[in-house]
Amino acid sequence: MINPYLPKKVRVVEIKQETEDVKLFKLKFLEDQKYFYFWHGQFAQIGLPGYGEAPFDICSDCNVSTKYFEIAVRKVGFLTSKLHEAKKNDIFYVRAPLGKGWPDPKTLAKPNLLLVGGGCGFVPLKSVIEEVSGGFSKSHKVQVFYGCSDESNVLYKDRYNHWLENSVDLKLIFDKKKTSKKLIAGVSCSFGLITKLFDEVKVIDEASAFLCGPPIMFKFVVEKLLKHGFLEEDIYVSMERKMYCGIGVCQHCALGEKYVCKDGPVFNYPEVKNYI
Amino acid sequence: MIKQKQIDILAKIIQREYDIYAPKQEAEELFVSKIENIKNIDYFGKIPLNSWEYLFFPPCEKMFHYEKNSFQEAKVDYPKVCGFNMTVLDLKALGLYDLVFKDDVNYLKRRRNTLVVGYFAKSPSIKNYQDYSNFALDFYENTLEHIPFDIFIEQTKTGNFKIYSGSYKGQDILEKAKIKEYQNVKFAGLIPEEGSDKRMLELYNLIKNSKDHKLWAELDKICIACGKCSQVCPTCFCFDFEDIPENNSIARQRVWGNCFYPEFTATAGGENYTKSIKNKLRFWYEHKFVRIPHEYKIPGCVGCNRCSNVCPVLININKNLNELKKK
Repeated sequence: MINPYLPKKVRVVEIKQETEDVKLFKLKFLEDQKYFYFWHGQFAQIGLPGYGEAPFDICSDCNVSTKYFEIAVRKVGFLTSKLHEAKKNDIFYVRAPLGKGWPDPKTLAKPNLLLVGGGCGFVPLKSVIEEVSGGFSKSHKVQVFYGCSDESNVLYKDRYNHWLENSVDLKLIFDKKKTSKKLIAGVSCSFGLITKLFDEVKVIDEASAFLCGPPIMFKFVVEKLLKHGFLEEDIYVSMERKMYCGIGVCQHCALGEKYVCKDGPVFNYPEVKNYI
Repeated sequence: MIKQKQIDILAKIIQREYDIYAPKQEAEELFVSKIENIKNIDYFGKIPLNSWEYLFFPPCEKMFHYEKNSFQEAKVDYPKVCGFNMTVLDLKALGLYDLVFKDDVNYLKRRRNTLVVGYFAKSPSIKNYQDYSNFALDFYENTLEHIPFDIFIEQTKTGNFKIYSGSYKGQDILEKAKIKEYQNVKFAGLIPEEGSDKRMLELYNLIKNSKDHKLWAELDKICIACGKCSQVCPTCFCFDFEDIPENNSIARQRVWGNCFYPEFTATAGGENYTKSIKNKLRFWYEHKFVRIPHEYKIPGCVGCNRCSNVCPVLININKNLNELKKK
């Protein structure tokens, strides 16, 4: 019988120090990577023997899932500190893919797409951007608001050029420290809370919105979205809770009648508005 | 009619193969305990203070051991255990476990080695269930079709017994005990033919929309979040994983969790979604009255009243539900 708690081995094939405390890991299953499929917004439970497991959003393009997948790890605790010590070819222990990811942008009621990410919340949006930049972003409008504490914490800078070339309209905003630069990796940046971007730039219309970030961000961003004429049912949020068993049993991530690990982490906003 | 003597023989036959756990009077309280002498088995039909949970889902169990750079399923000798004289309410809780852990390798292996003997004593049981209006406690004609058991013993008003079998395993044991006078009952799932329990549906809507009810703020001042209610609740099953050192290597074990304890919902980023006591309590009530009914269409509280019996500050679940019904 398949044991849903039994982790599988992945090899670390590439490590990139993305910011001072964030490393990107490119991972490959030792067995059957070629049968591995995930959908953007899904997550993985990643662990090490003796250090337990924790949930990480998969941030790579799901179209190359049969070759590898990527995660971003911020050094915040016991397990993540140990993961940061890993070297190329080391082994991690993984259960993935888990949960329900973002909806398919092509099947949504609205033609365009607005992605709003705050801090580490930008990570699960990255795989959406990777997927839409190219085909979808050329025929539909894709706008991305990325809020971050300061310049030193900006993630995925080396991808911006590719996204911009594919008509992804990316905007950066810092809320802790101002920068004297007007552009970061070719992207215009300003200073203030992420909600300020809604007053500063022309927000695309006829769009669905995907949100991920700290809980406090949702409330204020949703307010702005509704003011800009977005409908509640066109808003999707990726919720943060303590995902643990990954299959909706252990109760750690329960949210009313739902489980973030099984029914989410991505929810249509009306489903979870009482918990925001 | 089956007499007590024949029931004693049945218990002895079972004991040849299984460790019997049954309600037993200890220090003026009734506990589910291991039985050495079958004369100590309680036939009053009262609900024991602790739940049967630990027989089916132990407080700590080894899941994996780490060997040759891989996690591998732990080899465990699952004991042959019999839960003897489990009440209808406890069998409802077991039925829920069977659903929740339907894909759980460890649970299924353990469960395969168990023998479940249910018990109903007509008048004393109902007395014990107190004046409850929020739960379905009655012993209806079709009750037995909707609870899992191998053997079921019903004490009649005369003090004699009626016997039912609920599985081939149960029939085998009854034959071995030379009990011929029994009826076979076919398990037809946990939801009765007439549909989901109406009280459950009422409580579902009540708790789901209770966020701003003043009761939570009141309980916030009383409850000390000791977690005893969740320890004795037969439908609590949350858990944590722990990696522990073992023979120069590592084992991953599963241990009972407790949603009243501080780290239960805390994330690495520093958020804790059930920090306040009122949030913890509502989280626990939502598990019983919202999540379980939503997912499995059966009540997540069987109405055993254990939580009220052990609460050091006398919080009573039935009173709370009645309070929530008031606007």
